[in-house]
Amino acid sequence: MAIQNADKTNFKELIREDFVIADFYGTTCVPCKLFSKILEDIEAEIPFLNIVKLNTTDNPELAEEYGITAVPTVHFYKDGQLVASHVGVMQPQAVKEVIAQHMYA
Amino acid sequence: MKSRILKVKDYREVDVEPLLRPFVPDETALEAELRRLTNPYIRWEPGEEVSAGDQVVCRLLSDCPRYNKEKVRFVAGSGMFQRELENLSIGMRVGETREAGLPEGKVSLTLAGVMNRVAPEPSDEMVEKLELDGVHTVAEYRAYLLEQQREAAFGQDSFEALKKLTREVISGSEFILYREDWAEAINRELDRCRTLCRQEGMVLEEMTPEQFQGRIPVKSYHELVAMLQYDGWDNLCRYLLGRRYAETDSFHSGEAEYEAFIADYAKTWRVSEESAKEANPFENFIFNEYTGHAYTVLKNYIREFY
Repeated sequence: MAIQNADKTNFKELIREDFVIADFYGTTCVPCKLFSKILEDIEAEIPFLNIVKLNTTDNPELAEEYGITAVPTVHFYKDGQLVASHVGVMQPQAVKEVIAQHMYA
Repeated sequence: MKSRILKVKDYREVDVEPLLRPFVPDETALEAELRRLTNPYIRWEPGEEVSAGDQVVCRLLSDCPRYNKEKVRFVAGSGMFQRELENLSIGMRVGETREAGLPEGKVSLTLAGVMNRVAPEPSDEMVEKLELDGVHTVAEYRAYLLEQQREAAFGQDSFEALKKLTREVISGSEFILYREDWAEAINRELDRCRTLCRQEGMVLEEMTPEQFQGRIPVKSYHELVAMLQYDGWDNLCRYLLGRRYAETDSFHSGEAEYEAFIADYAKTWRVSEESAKEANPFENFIFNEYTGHAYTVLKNYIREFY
């Protein structure tokens, strides 16, 4: 499952089923680029993860709708329900712990 | 502005080498970045035996519902499912069954399938696809990453050296500074802060420590005034130094640069150009440009020794 770039037309559809990691990032945000690399590493390690990225600079309305006040923010969804979230760069092990807690629940 | 420089201390007379920590490459980070190059080329191939990092499909039998499932998929050793069961699967062959005693009860794991992870070594072809200027081989990419590391380290390590060099240049130079210029620079900065706060619906003079947090590194308006007054003389000196350096190194900033800055500011902060200009008056911009130029000149000198 490749990392998918979402926009306002498909974001809700992409987080609707299964376990999904949603990465809210900004175009010029440097920590976002670091977190993006962390997610790419995780995707290379766990290829069947669903990872969705949303550019909040290009989609401010959606960012507001989901209560994003700072980037990067990561949301973890299970069948469309928000089960965990974090503001700021998350270290790989912390991401895996959330996966372990919710993906198989 | 009536203030001026009488004599400038030549920064090249200052030995900055003792002020700098030597650059030590982070080999672990470098290797991780090189490994990242191979991420898009990782293949998953059907296999017979599980190694750490492989995708595992198995059947679990247990009295515990969490571990009683017909089909479970995880990556062995990733820690994403259950560490003990993941480790148990390593070395298993398809069709094999093993048991583990977990705190939740006994679990029987039967391996239904495995996809072996095949990660290629970094290659020149992978580097070429990055389309980096002048970077075509793995060796060149390694050198490129190393240079990025050096640049990032310089950004951190040069801070103290730059402060000390600036202090030495200012204290070794001779200035005539007018209180009215000092006051004007401070008041301009205060006005800028006032405008920015007003644009966020606050009154600068009435802001609480919580409102200052994350915006300006002070706890009160009076602390802000004190900070600006304290830094004011040095900032004036830096501005005059920047002006002096610009006389010989062709640096220039004026209307065109201001318009470009405003356009960029308005885009970044999603405000109108009028608001951007209100928050960043031309005089402030020019003052900051030449103050910044003095920093740039001194920083470039320090870079020669890094």
